Amino acid sequence: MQSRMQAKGLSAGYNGEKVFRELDLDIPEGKITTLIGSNGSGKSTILKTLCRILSPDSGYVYLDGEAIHKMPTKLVAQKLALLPQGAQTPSGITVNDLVEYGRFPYRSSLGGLSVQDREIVGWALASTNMTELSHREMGELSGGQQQRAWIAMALAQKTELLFLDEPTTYLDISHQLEILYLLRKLNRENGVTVVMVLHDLNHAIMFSDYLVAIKNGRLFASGTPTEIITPQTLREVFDVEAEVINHPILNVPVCLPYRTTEQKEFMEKGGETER
Amino acid sequence: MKRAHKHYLIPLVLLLLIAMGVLLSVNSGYARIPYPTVFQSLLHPSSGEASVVVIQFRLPRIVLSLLCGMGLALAGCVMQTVTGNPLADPGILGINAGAGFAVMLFLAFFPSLHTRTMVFQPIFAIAGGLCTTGILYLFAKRRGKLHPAYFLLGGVGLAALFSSFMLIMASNMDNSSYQIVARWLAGNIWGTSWYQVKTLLPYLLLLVPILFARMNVLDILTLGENPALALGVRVERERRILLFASVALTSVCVSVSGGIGFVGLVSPHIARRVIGGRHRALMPVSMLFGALMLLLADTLGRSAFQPREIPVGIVISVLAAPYFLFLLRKRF
Repeated sequence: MQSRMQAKGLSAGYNGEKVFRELDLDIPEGKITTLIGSNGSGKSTILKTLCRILSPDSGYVYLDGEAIHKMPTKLVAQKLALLPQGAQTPSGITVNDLVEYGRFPYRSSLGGLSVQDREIVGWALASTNMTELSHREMGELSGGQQQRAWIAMALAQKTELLFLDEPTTYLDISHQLEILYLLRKLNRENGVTVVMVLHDLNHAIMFSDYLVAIKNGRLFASGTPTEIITPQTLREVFDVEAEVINHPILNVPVCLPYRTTEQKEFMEKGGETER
Repeated sequence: MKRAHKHYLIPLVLLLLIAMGVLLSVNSGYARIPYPTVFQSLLHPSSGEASVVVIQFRLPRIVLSLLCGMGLALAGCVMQTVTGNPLADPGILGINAGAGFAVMLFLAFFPSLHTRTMVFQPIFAIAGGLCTTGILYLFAKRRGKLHPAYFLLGGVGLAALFSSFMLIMASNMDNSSYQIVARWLAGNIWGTSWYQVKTLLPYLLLLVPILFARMNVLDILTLGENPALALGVRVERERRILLFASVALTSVCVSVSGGIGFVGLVSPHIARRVIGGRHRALMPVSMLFGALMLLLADTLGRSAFQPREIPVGIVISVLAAPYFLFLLRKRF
């Protein structure tokens, strides 16, 4: 397995309190990797530390063999893009403006956009189906369109690694699928390595080549969705009892949770039998 | 209207309005001077009474209000972006009051330096402004990070504190000093000589380019901390530079203009509505709005209630406060 990014003995957190510790992780190149885990397990913090938004308390993240937290930050921004969770949309800018911001890592402090910059902005808009909306104000767009614009901005960074923290939150089901298919297209057609955090397990299974399960700030298991998604892991990682069946159309595992493990223990001690 | 056209048209219209404002302003005031005489004295400065009034009193005052308007508007624009709060303004953040308090301390305790007032006054103002910012910075820093909301709250508190310090000190002063303080608090272009223009200009020439050189960074900062970090902006460092440069800019302006509020708040707001949020256009257009606003307000205050003069700060507040309330109601 080829890998351009590795985490070695990585620990980080906020105010001296470690959110995750001793993480060793390889991000496979050209694949889609998704971090899964319950709320507060440390997924988002791990993603932020991998993208050098957060400094590690100990350990290293290597990008092409170099420690990422020691590299010039603009250079990192030319190699990896991050779409953070719940980014605020500034007022008074158009979609095109936002996507142009993605060229920031390549610009001098005063310089305008080069011809090449403009071409890349055009490509990013086209890839996300935003060309027609490019002169609309961000504030006028729907949640799904805004999210697509943000992804276009990340694409305009022209990086080979793309990190996304819950890119489908607050979107309805059709927009969720639209974003996820877009990411798959970028991965398959442009060879972009995608690393993301997703809350919806079945989406994680459908769209990922690799899953990384995090429990209480530690790596619990990693592997292909078929390897990871078993009733056993779901119980351990998410504290739920679930059936895992085969998707009749896509031929991937589908998980059907039916109760929490706590409820099960309660019932086994002679509680109500109602499911 | 197409965006590209807008970017040329709006600054052009503003420049025209400013030019008209200057013409209006030259002619209005305690002594009404007919235009032929005005032009005559501009082209051929003589020792005639009208010429002296125009060249030695009116013109520097006009230039000062234009420069201060630009400076305050630009500082307000940058502060709004850096704190991520559309309500940020040098006045609200207490910078005006802090700088004013320092100027007052200077007037009260270093009378020996008075003869070189114009050299030391801006320096004291900057010191006062930066001290205020330092206190705010400490106050707003939670767990190693700057919290914009606390920044604003702290500023409101400090503004009130420094204003009351100034009044307390002023009550122990002789009458003429008290007058100065009262006028300062109301916001008044009290300098009416070229000397003050010369004092202000070097600071503007230093600070304005520092801020303009960061227009791309300012654009990115509007996205919020994490996206800015992800795009390779060294957020804390840039915030500090921008904040201190804009505070210094405010302080020097305020040291000659008095505590004028609202210019830094309202001009960027109007500018953002007409030209959008890109700093490349937003900063110059805000500056033009600020200049126009201060010029018109000063002209109005000078001529509307003759022979009395209303301080420009009061005129601005009277005009801008309702507009701002209207904005708040509409936007939030």
